[in-house]
Amino acid sequence: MTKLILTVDDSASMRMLLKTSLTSQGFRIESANDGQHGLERMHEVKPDLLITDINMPKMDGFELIEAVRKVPEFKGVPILVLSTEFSDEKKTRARNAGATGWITKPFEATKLGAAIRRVCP
Amino acid sequence: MSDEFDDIQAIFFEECTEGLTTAEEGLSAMQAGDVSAETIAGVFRAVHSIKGGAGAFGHSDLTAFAHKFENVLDEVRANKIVPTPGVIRVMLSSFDVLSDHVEAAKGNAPRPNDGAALSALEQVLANKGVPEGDAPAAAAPAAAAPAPAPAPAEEEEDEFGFRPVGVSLEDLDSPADEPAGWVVRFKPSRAALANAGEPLLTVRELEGLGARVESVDLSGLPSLRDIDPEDSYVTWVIAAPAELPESDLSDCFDFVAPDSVIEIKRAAEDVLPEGATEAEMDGDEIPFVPVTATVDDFMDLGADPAPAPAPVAVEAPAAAPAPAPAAAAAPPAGGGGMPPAGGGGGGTGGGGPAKPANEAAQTIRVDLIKLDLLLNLVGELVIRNSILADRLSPADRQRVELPELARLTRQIQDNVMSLRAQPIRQAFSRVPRMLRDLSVETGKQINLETTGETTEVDKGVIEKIGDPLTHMIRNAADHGLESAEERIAAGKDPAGTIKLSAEQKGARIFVRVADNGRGINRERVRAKAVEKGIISADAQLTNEEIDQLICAPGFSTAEKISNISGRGVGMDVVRSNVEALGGRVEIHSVPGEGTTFTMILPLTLAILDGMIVRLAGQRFVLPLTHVLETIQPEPGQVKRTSPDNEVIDMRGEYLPVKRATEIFGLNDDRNIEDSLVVIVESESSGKVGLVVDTIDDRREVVIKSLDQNLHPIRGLGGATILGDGSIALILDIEALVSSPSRYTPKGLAA
Amino acid sequence: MSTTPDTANDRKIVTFSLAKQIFGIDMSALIEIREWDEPTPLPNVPSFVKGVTNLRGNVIPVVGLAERLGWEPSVLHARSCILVVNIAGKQAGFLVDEVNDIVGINVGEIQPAPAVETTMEESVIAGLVRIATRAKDGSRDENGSMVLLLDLDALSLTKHLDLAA
Repeated sequence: MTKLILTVDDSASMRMLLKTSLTSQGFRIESANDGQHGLERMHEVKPDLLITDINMPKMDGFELIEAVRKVPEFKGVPILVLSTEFSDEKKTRARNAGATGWITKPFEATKLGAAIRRVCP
Repeated sequence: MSDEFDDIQAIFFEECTEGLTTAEEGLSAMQAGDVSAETIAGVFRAVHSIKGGAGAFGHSDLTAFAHKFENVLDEVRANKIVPTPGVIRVMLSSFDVLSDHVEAAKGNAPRPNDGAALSALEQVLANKGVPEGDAPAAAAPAAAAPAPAPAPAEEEEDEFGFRPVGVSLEDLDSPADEPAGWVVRFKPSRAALANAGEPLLTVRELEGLGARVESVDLSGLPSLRDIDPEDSYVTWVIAAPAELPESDLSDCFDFVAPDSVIEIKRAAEDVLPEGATEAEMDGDEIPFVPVTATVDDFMDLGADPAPAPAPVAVEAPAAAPAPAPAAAAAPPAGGGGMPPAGGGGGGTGGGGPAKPANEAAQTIRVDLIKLDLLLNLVGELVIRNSILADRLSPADRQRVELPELARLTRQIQDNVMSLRAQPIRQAFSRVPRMLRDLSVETGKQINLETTGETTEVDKGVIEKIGDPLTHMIRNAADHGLESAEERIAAGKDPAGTIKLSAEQKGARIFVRVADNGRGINRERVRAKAVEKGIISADAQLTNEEIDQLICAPGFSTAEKISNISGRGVGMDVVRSNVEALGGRVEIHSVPGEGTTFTMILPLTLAILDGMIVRLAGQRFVLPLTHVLETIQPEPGQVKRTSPDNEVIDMRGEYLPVKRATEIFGLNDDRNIEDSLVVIVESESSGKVGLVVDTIDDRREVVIKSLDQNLHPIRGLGGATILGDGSIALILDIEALVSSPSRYTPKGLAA
Repeated sequence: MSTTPDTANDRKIVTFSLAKQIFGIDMSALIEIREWDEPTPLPNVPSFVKGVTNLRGNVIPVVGLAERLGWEPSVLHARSCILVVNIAGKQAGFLVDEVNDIVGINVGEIQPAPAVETTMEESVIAGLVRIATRAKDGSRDENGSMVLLLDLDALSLTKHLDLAA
């Protein structure tokens, strides 16, 4: 079954890049442009996986992850952070918030796909 | 795919432009004293996004520079570097270099030399905020170790930027000479499960590498009634082939929460837990090592910041090299509170459904072409509306509720127009940078004062005033302002000021560039114009006409060709660009006090309220904004004052009369008494009478530019399509009645 | 010569007559062919710009191609028509005497224009190519005729007209 992934990033080019590279690998992609929007979209599309950026206006990635994890329905949804940030402090924060994994931008499409399959086979 | 990639990349570059604008605004605000967290975060986020995208599109130079810049911003954001004026200066010049990098990435410019900026940033990082030469005043206490930047940057290189987290290998002993097989012990933490990490996937992945599960320890399982389905009780012990690189194994744990128990060791290592016997180590049965330390202990992380510190790694067992057998292990240091017993979700699970945050304004990106199409269609709708109104009797108009339709149509039109309206700030945004560069190039001190940047103008106008504005600013900096010495000698502030302003007046927008420099040297302008053959030596010109010569084609007052102006194009480009937009340029200069250039532009390029008139039988549109009144001249009311000049007597006031038919070279043998004279008011020439055959109609028209498929034509502001599909040309009143047509035929030597 | 249009020939051109010559332009530049309709005259433009006309809401210039190329102006007749073309993103209509055919040509058979056409700016002819012509009875004239391929970019109106503006 095709996995549905919600990508949250404030950069349109990044969203499109994700969409293009993941669609070609057999994923279905929905996207949102900030944390708040992402949270709304979670409820709408109920994805199999959430990929989120960290630095976003309105609601950042940490807040989004926390908010998503508070929803019982989304407890089992893997969440990958896709960010240019790489400090361990940030990663710890993300984990504590409930992230499943962390991928540092820039990503390589096939490896991103592999990483996704790792958490969401 | 590559087309698609290019498309996405084009969007990325747009985002860069937006990001740069945001960053510059933020930095300017910081320079002006606003160092609020919000402002700093805005700049950080902008630079951060540029870096992120640049990496994705493979612009490594841009990425590297943005990265360094971001590091400094991050420290400022974290209050580790105080944004002193010196630091802000470094950031502003870094911003300029960043802009150059973006241009280079676009392929518009060579790679900038960023060495100086990089080392300035480095210095700020190293000194925690004190760049060279800056007062050590507010230096932040040297709290942290040197900038955290470089090291992680290198790590970023690994593979594809997949940074293994949660596995720390540094503290493992070096492998024995003959490597033994790997023993991997894995006990996912409760947090790992809470984060939707599925341990079986990890185990399967290890198996994919040739590992096999030696044993599964279920001893941690509580009695059924005590089982928390969200908790983790199982420990896997997995044997992996000796020849596998350790990194392959650790990679499998990338996504496993750091408080899980993960041990990757050579089977023969002496760090094996107590209780493992020799036989067990050699044998095919790996001793089962119960690890029970981390059942609930890491759940309350929210309440306890302790477990945070950096390379979050194998926590419990690694810290205590000899995990005690059986269930004796104590909670590791830092593992604080216990979660509520049997709590369905413990610390992370409590909340109800999250509030859908709807209040935020959403934006979408729309292709401008679609917007233009919409605007065109709405324009046609407006026109159809007025045609309908013309054809229906007043009673029928009411019966079909035409006024209501017209009102709605008008609302749609206003809304569509507002979609295209944007703050003129976008056009102004590149000015500060330009002036910083100009200041360096000219050695002049230049202050910039900007007002009215929130004035909203049609996007088409904003896009098209960029070049004229650049020329005007350069002209002001290069020719307008004096050198500091000259200014001091003249008793002025050594720093010159350029005021950039925008304001809306009715349907027009006024964009001014005013300098407080030396003013136009009319003697020199005149001499130059004679020398260049633009005017004849004996031409009689008013001061205003001399000033206007600056905009004449081929004119440049720069005595030496400077870097800045004098590139062969100049103010004549400003004039022609602005006129192509249906606007014009005014110059006001006072010797010794300065010069003001004003671009007067239409607020929108799209729709115009006009009169359909006929000239020599052909239909034209006369923009209503200029029309004062229309009269049918009485015999003798229009008098010829010279072979070329006519005036009309308007209740004792004599106004010049112009015949558009003559200016356009149309055949017109109509008697003036059979014509109408439309009195128009132009901004440059005051009231003028314009002779037309008849007036057909009054209506709104959609302006179609001629330069879209042809080029601008002097005297015409564009064309429109009438209800019957035919084309009417739109008159440009300013160009028709104003001075250029006067000095063009006469003063020109050429 | 094979005339199987779709396989042997890798480029399509539309041919038309003008001043008793046969010209061709690349099919990809052609937007449409329309009947002659008197355009709205423009002031202050060279005489070869006949005016502007309405092409589905776009205002496009109509150019007397014969004059543009330096010949006597075309005399309007029943088969006069306008070739609407796209030149570097700008649209323009060219008045031609008659549209003949759409034919496939082989790029390899295009010869450079000999420099004998002194009346013409040499740059506007991209090359010459021989095509089989269709006689009135439908048979083919195997000798064919020579087509002058126009370089539309060199005809760019803006370039030429800016001088007049």
